[in-house]
Amino acid sequence: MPKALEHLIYASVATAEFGAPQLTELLEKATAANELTGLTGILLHSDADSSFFQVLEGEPEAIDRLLTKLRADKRHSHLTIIIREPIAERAFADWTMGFASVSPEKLRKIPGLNDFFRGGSCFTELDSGRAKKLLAAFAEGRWRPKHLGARWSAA
Amino acid sequence: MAAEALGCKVECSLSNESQDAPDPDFSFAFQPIVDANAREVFSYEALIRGVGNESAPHVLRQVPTERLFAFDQKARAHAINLAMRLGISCHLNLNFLPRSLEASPTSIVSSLEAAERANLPIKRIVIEVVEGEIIEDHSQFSRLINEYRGIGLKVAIDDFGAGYSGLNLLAEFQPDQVKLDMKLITGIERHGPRQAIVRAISQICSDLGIDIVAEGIETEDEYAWLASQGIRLFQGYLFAKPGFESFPAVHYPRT
Repeated sequence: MPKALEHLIYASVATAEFGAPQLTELLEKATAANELTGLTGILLHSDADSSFFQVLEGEPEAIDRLLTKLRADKRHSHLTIIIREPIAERAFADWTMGFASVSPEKLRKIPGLNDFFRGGSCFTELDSGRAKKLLAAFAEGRWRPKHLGARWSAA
Repeated sequence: MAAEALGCKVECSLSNESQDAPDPDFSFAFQPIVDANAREVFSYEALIRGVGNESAPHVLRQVPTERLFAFDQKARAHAINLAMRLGISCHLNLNFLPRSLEASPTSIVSSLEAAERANLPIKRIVIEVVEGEIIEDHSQFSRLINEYRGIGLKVAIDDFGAGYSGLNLLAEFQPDQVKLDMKLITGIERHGPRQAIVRAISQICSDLGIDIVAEGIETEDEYAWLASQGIRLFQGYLFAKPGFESFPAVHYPRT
């Protein structure tokens, strides 16, 4: 009997500026932690409005534990859960934490992301699953700080 | 009322094979749900018919009330087998009689088993549930369904926008598809309030990663307006009428 899988998709607002060094550190820590807990997923960050968008996949208990930490994390605010539900398979099975800055040029440079953002059209494929559809919605400007009720953001 | 009472009746009748009145003969018609952008069939909806292509009500009113849920299960298994014989290679949309999910816990399981026997992957099955079905207890519905979504089952809310509960429901449960009610669609290209409602639903669905299917499309003008709003999944006479025991040819509009 395989263990239950869920995905959690949330958006949040960075409370401080996240430059390349901060993002690299964040990503390294997340990757190390996720290797231990069996979580996979992808984190998107938009420089333009300091927003985060993350897909997490794994066992419900591991997601719960990370969510508790995320809620206490002062580096972001307005954490808004968009979707949490069971899934049959991981959309990001090979990624302990993929990362992308939301600009098409940068997206194209990240190995593996090409598949989702190829020409800005692939990720709207109908059968691509909810996680990728929501990544697409974020890339198109949805779930940004102004939608989350933030009156300001670090950018 | 009577969810429990009905559930009991169904189980009794399931465990009792000898029936006074035999089930009516039936078959299925299939109507495509098309992806108009890709110009391909995304799914076929199985619609119950008499063996001479009589309507669904014609068949269902011959089924004794206490047999309805059992008949419904049997019919879905038949629809799966027929679709497989026809060589289905996309999704298959299956209907459930109102109240059958709560009244008859075996209704989903039996269809999943039928799919397994027929070698139809679960992730290609979309079950259609009407929104009126789930207004009473959203969280109970969501628990029931989510158990099967974990193995890949997809869920569509049928007749979305026909009742009062639709948007409320999405707060508790996010289906894979919503099928816009035909009443919202008819003549939408010249009806402001319907356009405003469909635009709002469309925004919500794209924020939540839900696909919209526009049902009951009969004219090129309806299609053109809906396509202009980014909707790409359509079902209706403009594309194809249901094909009796067959997958009918699809007409794609030029625009």
